[in-house]
Amino acid sequence: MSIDPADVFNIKECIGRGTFGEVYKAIDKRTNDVVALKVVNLEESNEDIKVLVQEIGFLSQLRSPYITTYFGTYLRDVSMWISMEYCGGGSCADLLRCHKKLSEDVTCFIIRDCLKGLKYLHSEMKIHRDIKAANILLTPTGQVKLADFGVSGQITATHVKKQTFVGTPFWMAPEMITRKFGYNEKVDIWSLGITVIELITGSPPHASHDPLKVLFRIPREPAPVLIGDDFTEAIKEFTQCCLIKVPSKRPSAEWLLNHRFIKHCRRNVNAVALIQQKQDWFAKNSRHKPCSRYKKDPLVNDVYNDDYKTAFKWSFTTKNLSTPDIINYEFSDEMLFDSPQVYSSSSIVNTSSVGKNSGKDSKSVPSKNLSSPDTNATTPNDNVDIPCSQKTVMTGKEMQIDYLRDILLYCLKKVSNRAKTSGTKETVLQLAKTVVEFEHQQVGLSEAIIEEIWLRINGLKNEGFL
Amino acid sequence: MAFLFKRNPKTPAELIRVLNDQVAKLDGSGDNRKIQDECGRYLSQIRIILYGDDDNDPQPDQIAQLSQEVYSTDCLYLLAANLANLAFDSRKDVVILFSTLLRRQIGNRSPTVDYLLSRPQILQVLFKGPEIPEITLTTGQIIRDCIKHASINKFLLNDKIFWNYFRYCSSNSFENSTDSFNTLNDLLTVHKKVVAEWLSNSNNVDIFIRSINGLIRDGNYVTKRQSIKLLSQLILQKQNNSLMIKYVESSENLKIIMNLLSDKSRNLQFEAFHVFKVFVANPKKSRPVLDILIKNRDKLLLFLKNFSFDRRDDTVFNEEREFLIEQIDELPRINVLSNKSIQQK
Repeated sequence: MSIDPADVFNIKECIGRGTFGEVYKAIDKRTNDVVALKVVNLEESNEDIKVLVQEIGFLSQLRSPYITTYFGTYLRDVSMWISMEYCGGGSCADLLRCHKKLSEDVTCFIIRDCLKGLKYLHSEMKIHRDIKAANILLTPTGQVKLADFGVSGQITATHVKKQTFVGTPFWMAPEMITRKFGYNEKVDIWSLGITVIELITGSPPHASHDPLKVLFRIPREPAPVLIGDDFTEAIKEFTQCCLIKVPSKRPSAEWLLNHRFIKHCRRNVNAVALIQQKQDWFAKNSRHKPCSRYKKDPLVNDVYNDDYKTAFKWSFTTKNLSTPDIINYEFSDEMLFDSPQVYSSSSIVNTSSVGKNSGKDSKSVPSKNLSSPDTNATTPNDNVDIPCSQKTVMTGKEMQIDYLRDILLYCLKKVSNRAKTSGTKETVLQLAKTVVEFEHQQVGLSEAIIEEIWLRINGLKNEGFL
Repeated sequence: MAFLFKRNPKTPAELIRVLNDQVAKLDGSGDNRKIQDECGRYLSQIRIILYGDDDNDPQPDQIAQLSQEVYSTDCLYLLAANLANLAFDSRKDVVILFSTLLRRQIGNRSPTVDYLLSRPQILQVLFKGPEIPEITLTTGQIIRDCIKHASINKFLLNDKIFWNYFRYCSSNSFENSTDSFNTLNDLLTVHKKVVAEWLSNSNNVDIFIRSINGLIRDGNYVTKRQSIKLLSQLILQKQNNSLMIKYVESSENLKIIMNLLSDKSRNLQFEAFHVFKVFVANPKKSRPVLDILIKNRDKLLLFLKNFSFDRRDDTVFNEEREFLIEQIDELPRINVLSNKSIQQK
């Protein structure tokens, strides 16, 4: 049996949210490690899930101290639970929220490790595509790690609401916007240059503008530059190198690691103190906490969360087709009123009838149930079938017709199908609902009504009116 | 890069030879760690010859020398058979070696493809990769690179190991099971002609139907979703007529598809629809299939009328849906009351 991640992870608070699902802080009970758990609801993507799944495979093949480590993926119900390294120090964007801007030393320290992460990703033929302070994470001990690349980035991009179809406009390289000739890993170098400006000044260029308009400005305008006495020549030159508009002239991560701005990085940068101050600040200003309002239990999303049930119960017994199989003929009231997405709690899943009839392939395997075993799953539908000979001598009463379902609701459904306007349909459905309600109040009501109608029709027939 | 031009210690051919020597020692009882490091160093040097680096572009003559030495030794077999003993990063270099060699062309021949087909043990050892969980993703990548060549695709389809992939897809590890499915999917979709030819063998069709049904019925959500998609893709492919005919004549298959049609997942329902429609559209329905459809006539009509409201702007889908409703509506209906009144009289 595969592992149910709900048994493995002890889920704490929600720490982020993306297009396809939430990110939780969780504890892996097997190791006691704190992890970041990304829960991706696959049912919400109509697209081919092949791409998502391939990205997971790729993610699992990455190992570097400068990127958040991938631990594993589990399937529960229709969701993928991706377990990744949790960085307790928060992101550099959090750091900016508290400290407003960072010193050149701290910036240099952060950017150097980002370059190491990028060098690794690029050597693995991987483009990050969304480098920015919010995606640069810190551990409590001050290690720097790139996060949210590939699938994990696409599904947990932080500013989903603001942004449209693209990444995050302010950080985007011009060639990524124009897409005339495609783009390559150099887009990350541009974004890194923008991130330097972000860290050192507190915000990326054009930050006060409408993100959509910025999309047009970036390819048209000259590259942003750092100016003024506040900055050293080294950092000015470094950003200038990153922000070369022609991608082929923009240097690689490896080359930039040898730039003097990086080479002269001070060793004893006290990032830990900055992180600590930030944590204290967040504790005081709790309303700034990243996404406390998204708290939600991942298990709530399950499609199969109670028992595995199918929307419709088909009849696969075909032995006595000449005689109607009334007992199997089932419409639950819910089905009558609503779309197939409403499921009767009484419907029984019937996978074993498949195995039973096939003879050679007779192991009756309960349908894969991701949440809890369904005891009904092995009840063969075929048992309720009544042999042919018996049926022919039966009278109506012995056949146990459900007068409400098999006749009244059945007919009303037919009437509703004949309805030409939605108003008429609605009326018929109302009537059906009322009938159900009254039957509950007065059990046997349907039977009485049907009997009277039957008698009346037969009577009229006999008198020659029909 | 320093080693090529400054120290220049080994020619590509020498590099392959020393690598072979070390790899051959890997499964021995010696100090594996040291040998691993040694292999890793050579492999990353090979990677630079093949890919170049920041300062140097790859040199065609160097690659030619390297390939020559690879073909004339057991290099690829040794690497394939010892993948699990290599370090994590070295395995990726092996992937690069294979993929670069596979891309090589001389005229319109692919020397590596010819070489691999003349040494089937290499392909077989890689093909069985999913038996060893740690290397599944590595061998998967190499095999999928190989499958890009029709002749290898054909070879692998006809190897007995192929059928194991339906089992590999059910592995407990998410990464491994999905990777094996990727390979299975590529084997059956990349070269349509090869697949059509393979499916013209009725024995293959029978085992394939049984195997894919197993995945659709018993797989987890992702397996179900991917395998039903693969099935509908194959069935709707014109060249695969024999598969289509065989699939839609069996009522057992119809049951599986109808069960999926009524699954709670909308995506599974939708994928199942694309197989179900072929059962209904088939002008020569078998008796058992017809019986099931007749028996469920009213339920199917109700179901299809409400089916996939969110895709109503998809005109092709809607036309198909309406076509199915028409077809099913024309099926004979079973009238409960009229039957009974006959009996009473």
